[in-house]
Amino acid sequence: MTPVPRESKASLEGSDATLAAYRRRASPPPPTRIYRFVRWIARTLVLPPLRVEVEGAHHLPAEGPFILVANHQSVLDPIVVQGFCTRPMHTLTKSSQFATPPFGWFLPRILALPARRYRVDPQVVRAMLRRLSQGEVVGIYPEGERTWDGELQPMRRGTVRVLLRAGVPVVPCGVSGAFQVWPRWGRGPRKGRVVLRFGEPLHFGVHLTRPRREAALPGAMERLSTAFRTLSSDIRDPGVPRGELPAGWALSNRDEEVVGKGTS
Amino acid sequence: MQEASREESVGWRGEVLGFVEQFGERVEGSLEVTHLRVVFRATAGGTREWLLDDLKALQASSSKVQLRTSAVGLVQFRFHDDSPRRWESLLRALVAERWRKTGRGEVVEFQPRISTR
Repeated sequence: MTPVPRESKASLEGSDATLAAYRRRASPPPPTRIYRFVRWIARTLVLPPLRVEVEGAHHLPAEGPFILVANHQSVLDPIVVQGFCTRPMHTLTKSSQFATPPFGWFLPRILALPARRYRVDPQVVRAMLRRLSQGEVVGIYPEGERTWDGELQPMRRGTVRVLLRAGVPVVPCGVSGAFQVWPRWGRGPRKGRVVLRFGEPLHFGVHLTRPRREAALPGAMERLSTAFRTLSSDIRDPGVPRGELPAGWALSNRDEEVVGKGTS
Repeated sequence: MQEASREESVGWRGEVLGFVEQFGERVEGSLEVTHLRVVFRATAGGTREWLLDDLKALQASSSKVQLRTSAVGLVQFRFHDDSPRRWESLLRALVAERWRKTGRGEVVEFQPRISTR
């Protein structure tokens, strides 16, 4: 069940060899009935009012492992992307969603994998690479969280490192319109149109050692950002790290001066 | 304010998929932030504080702001009358300034851990 055998590291310095190694592994378990039922509900009841348009679905590989990466605009994204991805997809989901009993039971059955966002989480990386080694599809939102303002946020470097480690095709998916329908700060959905645009698979090669991943990281992040900007019409600017001060607050020169106060 | 008391494994079909944090009791109070520390004063009495120097990660999660320190673990704050994004932005600005001042470099990422270049 290990993703890539260590002894064959030297022979796997290329995507084709990695894919071949992955394909030799056990066939994937079928998606659960609950997954199929939820997907059916999503496609027949939830998504029609949203007027979802899908473009480029032919870019999704019909077989073999791949990672689908999408920009994250809204809570609707997983429903829309999973609803229209032609293959069952294991999606990285923030771990706190699993904290309550109903969701803790339900989410694994719709192929969600819990990712702790507040620390480096090797367990979810192992689970994800295991899925890929079984020839399955993994979905990731490389921004790590929903956007606050509709714009693309910086890619999480750790996530991009995992893409470089996995060495499978990466299919970019641009989501447009979901932010207008249900923004992060909104109380509920509004009527609107959501466009999903799948792009051509990106091949980053396989980078099994940390120095190789670090060397390839800036280029891979740039390629992903470019792909999202091309595929999602909503994105105006490339993401920049937030560090600006919110309105009404100012830093001071005195270390112990209170610069923020509130009730929690 | 809530502190994560433990992490539990999430398993399915005999496989550990990952881990999930479990939070303890919610405590009401007020929060103050200076250039050095985050201070929480509970309404029922008692004070907790976290030095900015000790923070390992910082993020907004739904309607909460979460901090992680190596010593204490994960703490989250839900604000009655303010936006988590405003608080996240304030804390990010303070952490970035503190890291710069103490020669630790420019912060490029706040989650899953604060990292510099």
